Amino acid sequence: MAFSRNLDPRTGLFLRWPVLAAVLVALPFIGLTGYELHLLIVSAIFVILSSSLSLIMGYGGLLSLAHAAFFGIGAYTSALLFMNFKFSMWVGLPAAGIVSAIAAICVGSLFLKVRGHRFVITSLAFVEIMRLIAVNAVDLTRGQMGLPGIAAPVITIPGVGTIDFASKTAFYFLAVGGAAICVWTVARIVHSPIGWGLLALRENENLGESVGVSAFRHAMIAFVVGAFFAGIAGSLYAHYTGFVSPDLFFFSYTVTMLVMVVIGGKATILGPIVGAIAFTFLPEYLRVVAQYRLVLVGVVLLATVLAFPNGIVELWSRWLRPAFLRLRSRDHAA
Amino acid sequence: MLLDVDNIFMNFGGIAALKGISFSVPEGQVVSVIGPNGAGKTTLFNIVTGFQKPTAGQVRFAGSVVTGLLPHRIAKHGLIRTFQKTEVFPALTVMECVRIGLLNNFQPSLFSVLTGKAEVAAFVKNSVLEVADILEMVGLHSKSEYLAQELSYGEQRLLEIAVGLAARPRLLLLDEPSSGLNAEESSRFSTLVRRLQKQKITIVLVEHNMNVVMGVSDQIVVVHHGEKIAEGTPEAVSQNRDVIKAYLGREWVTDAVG
Repeated sequence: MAFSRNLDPRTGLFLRWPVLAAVLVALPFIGLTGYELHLLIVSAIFVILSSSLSLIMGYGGLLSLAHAAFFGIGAYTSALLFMNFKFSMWVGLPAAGIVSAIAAICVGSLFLKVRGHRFVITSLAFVEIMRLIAVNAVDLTRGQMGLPGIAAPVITIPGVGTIDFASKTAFYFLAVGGAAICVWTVARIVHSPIGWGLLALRENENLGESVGVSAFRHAMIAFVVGAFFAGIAGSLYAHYTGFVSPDLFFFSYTVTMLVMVVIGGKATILGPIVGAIAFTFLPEYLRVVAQYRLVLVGVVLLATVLAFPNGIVELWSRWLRPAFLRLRSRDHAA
Repeated sequence: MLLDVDNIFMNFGGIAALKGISFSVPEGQVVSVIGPNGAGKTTLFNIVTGFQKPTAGQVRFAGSVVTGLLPHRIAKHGLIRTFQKTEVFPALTVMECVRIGLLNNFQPSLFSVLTGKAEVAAFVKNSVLEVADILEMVGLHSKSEYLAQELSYGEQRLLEIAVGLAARPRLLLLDEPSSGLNAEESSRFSTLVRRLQKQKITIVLVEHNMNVVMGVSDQIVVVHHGEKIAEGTPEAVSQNRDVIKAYLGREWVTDAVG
């Protein structure tokens, strides 16, 4: 029983959604520095990536290394639409999601027929192919030089004024909004019958098939929804930083996403969020220790994996929550 | 006939595992497929449920040809199996495992999940009661919050049947369901089979436990070296010379049958 609570900390979460929303809205106005706000925006973009990856990997049990590819496809879609056709992010953002999803349908119809090591390797190969295309299709992507100058959007509301999303505060709301929609969608799916089918795929594909659960269908749903949001994250990234390059397809992005999911707690809703925030802030704040920074990140990583095999959220479900419940029952008794 | 297995051949490389097996299962009956180890019983099961493609031959279920369909397609017809080596969803609770079986009856589209269609909510709500009923029937209701991997071996076998029942089978193929069960568990299992039969579920059993086979079967099909050597009621089959020879060897035939 205890273990199943770790798998789904929904029941263990006493943070109420209105409270969380209020905190998120208040954050940019409590006097954070621009740097801190920047880290929050980057965290939000990584929340989109880690939550959507958790749908594929945590719930569906498919160790996909292709997530960075869909992130990059989304970023390039948005960038190219802006550079070539002057389409703003309002067109680029949905387009990035849709192009990534279509790419996922195409490659998924090949990849998702294989499992285990073979799936891992094919997904890795796909990122590498995308990187090589970004490097070599110079006419389109300008190769290693990348695409600079992708502007953030501006909205003009008659009678109110204009909101320029080049401001960090404005973009913060955009990124957090995107993250919220992504988390909501993932939560909705995993707690629906489609989510049951994903668990069947992860736990025992043959048994699932024998009771009518198509492994391929469920793998495809997770893969395509995941890719859609990775594309959205890519578009946000492109319009936030203003620059995309083939480096987006680097293996280090894939590893970062994987670490966030695993350390936070795969197959939980909260885990990837915690993981994304922790592993955005931690490496930055460890800059004080200069050259020992990455060593320390490694130590923290190792310690967390050993102490919490099911992710940081286990800290809550295994220790804090029982302590909290004990305290409350003592209050009731008194 | 609910199930028609028609002249099935299966070759693995040069080895002929099945050499033209045919038999039929009438609706509402319990049919056992027996035979010594390596006779081809599990291969036959895998072919009927789509996990393997036969070299030749045809499987018909409720009038339609199901040979070569994917397992989840065959399951949709109401042809559900269990596995020889017990299969469960290890890290899920008993309740969550059985709930997956319900997906055979209804699978919402992504669109209806995201837009919160009422039919999805109704299905999820009903699933709680339906799972509780099934767990009650197999006797696992007190374990619904346990993880499947925490159950004893015998309980896992019952859980696997519960998952199959959730899929609302018209025909349930059970592959050695009582292997590894103790005497008390296997008599409980026989009771369960009779209850399923009362609910108009047709059952095909692959089984070694002769107490179970003789106790519950209407018909028995005997397979040996990939061929059907006998077929009939439990009484007829237990007197059959070829069957005794296959199980006990030639020298026993005269002693046993005379």
